[in-house]
Amino acid sequence: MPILYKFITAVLALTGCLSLLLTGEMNPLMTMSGLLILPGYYRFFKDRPPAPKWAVGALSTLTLVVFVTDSVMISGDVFLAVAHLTITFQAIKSFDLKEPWDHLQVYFMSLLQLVIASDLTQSLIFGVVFVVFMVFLVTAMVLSHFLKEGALGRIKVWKPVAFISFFTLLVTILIFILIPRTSHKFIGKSHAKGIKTTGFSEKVDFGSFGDVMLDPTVVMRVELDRDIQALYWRGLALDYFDGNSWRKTREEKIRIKRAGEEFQVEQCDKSRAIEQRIYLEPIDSDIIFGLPKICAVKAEGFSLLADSGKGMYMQGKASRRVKYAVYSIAGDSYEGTRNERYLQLPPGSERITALAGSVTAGKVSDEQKAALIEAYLKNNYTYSLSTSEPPAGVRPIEDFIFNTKKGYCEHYASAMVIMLRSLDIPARVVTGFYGGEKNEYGGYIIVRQSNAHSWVEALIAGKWKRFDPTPEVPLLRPSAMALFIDSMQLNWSRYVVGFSSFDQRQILRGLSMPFSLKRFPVLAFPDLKMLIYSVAAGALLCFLICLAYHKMRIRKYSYATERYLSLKRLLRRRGIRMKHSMTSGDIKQKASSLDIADDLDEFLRIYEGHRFGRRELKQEDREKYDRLLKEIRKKI
Amino acid sequence: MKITREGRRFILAAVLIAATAVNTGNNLIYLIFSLMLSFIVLAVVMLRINLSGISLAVSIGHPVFAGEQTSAFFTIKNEKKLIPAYSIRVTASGASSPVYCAFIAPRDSIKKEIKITFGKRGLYSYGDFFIQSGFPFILFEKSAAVKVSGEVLVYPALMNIEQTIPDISGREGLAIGRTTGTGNEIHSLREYRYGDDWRDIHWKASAKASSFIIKEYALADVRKITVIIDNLNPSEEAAFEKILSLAASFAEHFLEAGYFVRMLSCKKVIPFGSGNEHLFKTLDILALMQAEDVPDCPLSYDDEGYTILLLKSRSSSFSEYIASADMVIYADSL
Repeated sequence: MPILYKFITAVLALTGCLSLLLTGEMNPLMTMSGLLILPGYYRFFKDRPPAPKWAVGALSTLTLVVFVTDSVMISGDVFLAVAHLTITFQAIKSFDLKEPWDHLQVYFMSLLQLVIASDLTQSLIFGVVFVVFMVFLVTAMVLSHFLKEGALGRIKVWKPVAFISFFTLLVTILIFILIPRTSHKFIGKSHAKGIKTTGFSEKVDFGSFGDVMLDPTVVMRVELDRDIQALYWRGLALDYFDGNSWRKTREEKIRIKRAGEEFQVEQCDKSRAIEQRIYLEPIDSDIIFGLPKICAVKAEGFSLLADSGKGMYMQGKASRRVKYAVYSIAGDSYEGTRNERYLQLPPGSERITALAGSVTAGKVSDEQKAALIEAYLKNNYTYSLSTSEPPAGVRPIEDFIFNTKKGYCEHYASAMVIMLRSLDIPARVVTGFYGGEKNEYGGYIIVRQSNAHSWVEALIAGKWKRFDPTPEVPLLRPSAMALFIDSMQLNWSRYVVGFSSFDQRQILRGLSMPFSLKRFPVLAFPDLKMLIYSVAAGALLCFLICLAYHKMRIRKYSYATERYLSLKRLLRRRGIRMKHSMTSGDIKQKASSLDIADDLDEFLRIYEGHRFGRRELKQEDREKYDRLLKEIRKKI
Repeated sequence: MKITREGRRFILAAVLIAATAVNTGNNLIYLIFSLMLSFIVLAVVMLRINLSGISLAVSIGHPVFAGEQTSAFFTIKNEKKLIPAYSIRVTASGASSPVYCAFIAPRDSIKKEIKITFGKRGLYSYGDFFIQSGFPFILFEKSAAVKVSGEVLVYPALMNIEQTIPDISGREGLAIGRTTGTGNEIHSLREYRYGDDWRDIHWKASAKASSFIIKEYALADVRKITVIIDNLNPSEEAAFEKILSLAASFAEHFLEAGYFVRMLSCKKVIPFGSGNEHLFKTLDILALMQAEDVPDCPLSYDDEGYTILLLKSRSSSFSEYIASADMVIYADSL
């Protein structure tokens, strides 16, 4: 069996296992058996005999026993246990490869591993593994064919493999786009784990934000239709604070009615509203983020709920990446009504009340008081993610305000809300994300866990007004490469993972009317650039057509004649005048000035043999023609 | 198109993955399913393209008899302008093993020798030669009749007459041995007829008469063999083939021995003739002879020389000629 075929089988087995390992969901102990793949294939490469049948049988039985234990006790999940099982079976199979059918079993096993991995991850890495798998599977299938015919090694397979791989990718994309799909899950549950985050549930422990703010995991990517300075991705408003944790008062959420593809939250002038296309990673929350204030949401596949604190929710947590568009009315305030729950204070807040009074002494309006408290916190406290546990008997918020004076957004926002409430100004903590990195490669904003933020909304003159007492923190800008990879990740998420029937409809609509120009196109600078590109593309196309035509013309002749014509062309380029009537002897004579006599003699001799002597053209003759032509080209 | 064992399993796996994709709504599983579907689509499309534009030229340098192994040369040509052909098998009914070509460049051809046994007499052309391929994968296999330039005429199988009919040499009037020649008396002269030996032309008389005149020897009539072939009732195919095989064998046997041989059958008459040329003309006709679906077919002929009647069975309509025949052979009794 050729080494190439063995190598391809080994690569496919490893690709399958790798696709599972890269999900990060595999139990290291249960995947240790996968290491046996290496000695297994080493033995296979060295043509060692396969493992005895009884050993393979015994190991397989043992693996099944381990599988049961794994699914019941270790992983506690049959799905993950199956994933572990496939890795072990790949290892066992590497010691038991005898017939071509065994190789096919390896390919099928790898395919199964890929299917399992697709349920565990949605990362771009899966896409890379998929393409590698596809190319090697094509190679393996083509090699299997020639192996079955007993012709492996007799012809060069790289050309057909390259072509077929290319066409496979093309047809796969086409089928992927056209295939009818559902966006609902029928039986079972997804095993894709969401990003662990905090601050977006109905109870948020004080100080829990610190952990996530060091986490660079991308939470969402946002495409904005215009530049906005203050990017407050609003999530949830919390109203009750017991000194140790923030809560949201339980209330029934209102279901927002769907009108076509949209959920209309309130009156919305689309032309003025900020459109945000958001690709939200699966997080352990059902909140819909968006710039305040949200007036409409365009989404598919889930229902929309809203609470009285202007929080938006999807029905149930998404196990996969969610794509939606939010339309928001720009501004940092919106209408609200006074409610006693926004004045609740934790017990023992007298010291804070006193501080609030002293900070705002002499000011009359609520807005002035709020602005003073905001400025006070911003200027007198230090931003730090490394906070320590408060001494026994001291509440964390008091420790921040009076002792350490160091903290992060959660501390600042909580302090301000309590101070406002102590002054009889209704206030609430809002959690969400702030800012994000603009990615120039894709023209979108990356929002990470580290962008998690909390700020304050205070009811002033019948309007909820935003205050952010946290000082600005300089952020590290990621490298260009990281941004480029992230843009690829977005495209992967957008066009593959998040591809939906809506996109299919859009494509069909585009195909049915590709030239729906609203106005006569004006030749502006970008169009000029397009024109240049078009001309360049057209020139390239013409060149390729000419080349193909030329090749086809040449192909009309036999191989020997084709080579002979190439020789004549070569000599013509060197300045030797060639006529159609010239014989081989004439060519020899004409080329006598060049130092190619020996090669030319041999070339013409074998050409005459094939052209006129009815000599059979063999593979070695073809190689000889090529070699001589190469030599002649080199010499002249 | 045939689905291979691997193909069946691949399709089953694809169906399972499709069900998983529909159940989960997971686009990545849809992607894997699309990959599998593209494999199937490409396997079918490329297989068709691979087999298109393939032509075959068959050349055999010697006569071919049914049931006899012979060497034939297959020239397989890829007539496609740009696309090469991979992994092509060419076979014919009766070929011991197919000819395999791993690669044929566009507009190129490959010549291969093949040992072949044609099971039946007849004309072999388009529809009798097949190209097969499973390229590019191992999921499907397709076989198609190939365009053939040239035809192969397969003669009926030859039997050993001495073994089949042991008493043939002992029959009166059928003693094998060359008796024509200079030692025999000229009985008469007559006009040349198709099948006459050119060596028997009387040149002087021919010059006088301005047409070919043949010498007839005194013993010439006893060296004539008439074979009557029972070619009625197409349902008795096996017996008919046996009769044709026997007729071809008689032709070969007696023509080699210098006899004049003619063949009579319903709607087909091969007049007396001798020599190799007559043998191959006879074989050509026997190779293509079809049984006639008529209840009765009267033969009119002069009773000349020795007559052998070849009947399929005792119930044949040609049984009426038994009385005028010197030898009657029943195919079903052989």
